[in-house]
Amino acid sequence: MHLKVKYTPVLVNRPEKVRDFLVDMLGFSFCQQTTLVDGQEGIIVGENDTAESCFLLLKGTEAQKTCPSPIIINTEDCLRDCHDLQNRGINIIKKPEYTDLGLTAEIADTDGNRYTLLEERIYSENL
Amino acid sequence: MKTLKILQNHNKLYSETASDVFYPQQSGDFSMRLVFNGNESYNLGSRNLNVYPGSFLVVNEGTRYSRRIDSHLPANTFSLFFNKGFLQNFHQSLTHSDASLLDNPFISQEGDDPRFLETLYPLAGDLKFNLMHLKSHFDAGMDNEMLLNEYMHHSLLLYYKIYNREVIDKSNSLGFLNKQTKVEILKRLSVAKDYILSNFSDQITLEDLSRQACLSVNHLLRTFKQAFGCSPHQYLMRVRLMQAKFLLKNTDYPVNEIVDLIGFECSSSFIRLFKNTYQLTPRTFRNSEKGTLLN
Repeated sequence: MHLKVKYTPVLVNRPEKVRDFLVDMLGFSFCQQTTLVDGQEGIIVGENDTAESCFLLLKGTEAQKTCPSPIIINTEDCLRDCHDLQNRGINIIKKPEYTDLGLTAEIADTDGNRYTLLEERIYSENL
Repeated sequence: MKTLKILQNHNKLYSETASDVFYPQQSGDFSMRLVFNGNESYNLGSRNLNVYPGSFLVVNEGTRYSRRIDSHLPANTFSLFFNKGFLQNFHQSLTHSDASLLDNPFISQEGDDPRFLETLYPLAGDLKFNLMHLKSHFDAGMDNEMLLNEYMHHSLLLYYKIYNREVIDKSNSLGFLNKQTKVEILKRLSVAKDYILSNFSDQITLEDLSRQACLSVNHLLRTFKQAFGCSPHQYLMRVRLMQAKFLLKNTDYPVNEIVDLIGFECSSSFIRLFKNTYQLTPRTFRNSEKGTLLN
């Protein structure tokens, strides 16, 4: 069996606002309205229509939204992107920080949703 | 080809690609010197240091040096120069409390002029990633000074971490009670380590190292292991293997030629050591790095 992650569900207050933030501010170009089997409406957002994995933005219930997780987004250059986003008025809530996975920073949209920018780095290769 | 960028705060970035140049009697701000291809030789007082990819040299403000590139293939170098005020300010922000910085944000105090051990440091981890980004933005002609300064700030931050690991922790690991003795021994050991890093392609003897470091052979053997966790011979083998990996990955030189370039006397002992260390033959490593390995 060979399974792959395709849609990562993200529970948010207002899916449309998050979609606008991802598309207008972070440059994601693909989005599509969808309806799930239980009739719940969702929005798929990704890099393009053939992206290997996409976000599925869902409106969460109050109980589900009490402790929302950050949406993790990969970047090629965390310092550059933080700098660009800051210049566009986006709040950097955690400055770039070095972790075992790479360089990360956290930003937030006006709705309070948090986004972690992650520049993954492979430290085992020295040359 | 030379490119120099002087930022408004007088930090500087300098890149050069050359085969045969010599610059005598140089001096300037605190700097970090890197080589992305080939090598560059520095003369600092009585020491000759060769900077290869995989390590970088730190030169303090005001140190006199000469440098030379003498290579049949063009060497590509990159240097970061930190203005004295920028460095002092950074140092203060790390060593002073927030309250004292608020009370006295612009006045430098005695002892805030940091001096570092002028030695070769490993270029790896986050510093390497950040400097690769910085070099690529610099080569692309980026004009955003705030972002360039942000990279320089992070480079200093990561250099301080490396300094703590390579100098402070290593001197603490030496089995002497007196702090001054520890510092002096580490300085001498760094001379020996730099000699290995600069001359790995030559046949280096323990007597050479002992003479360079001004330590007896036995003293050198004992303290080198305390500081670097391996014998000078093991360190030399490690450096040669790392350079071999770099050449296998970044050039098309035949394995036999690489064996000569890194100072091994015969191919079979090199291949055996490489395989024992990385569980791959040099050829398999090269193929896997170039993405041609099947399966």
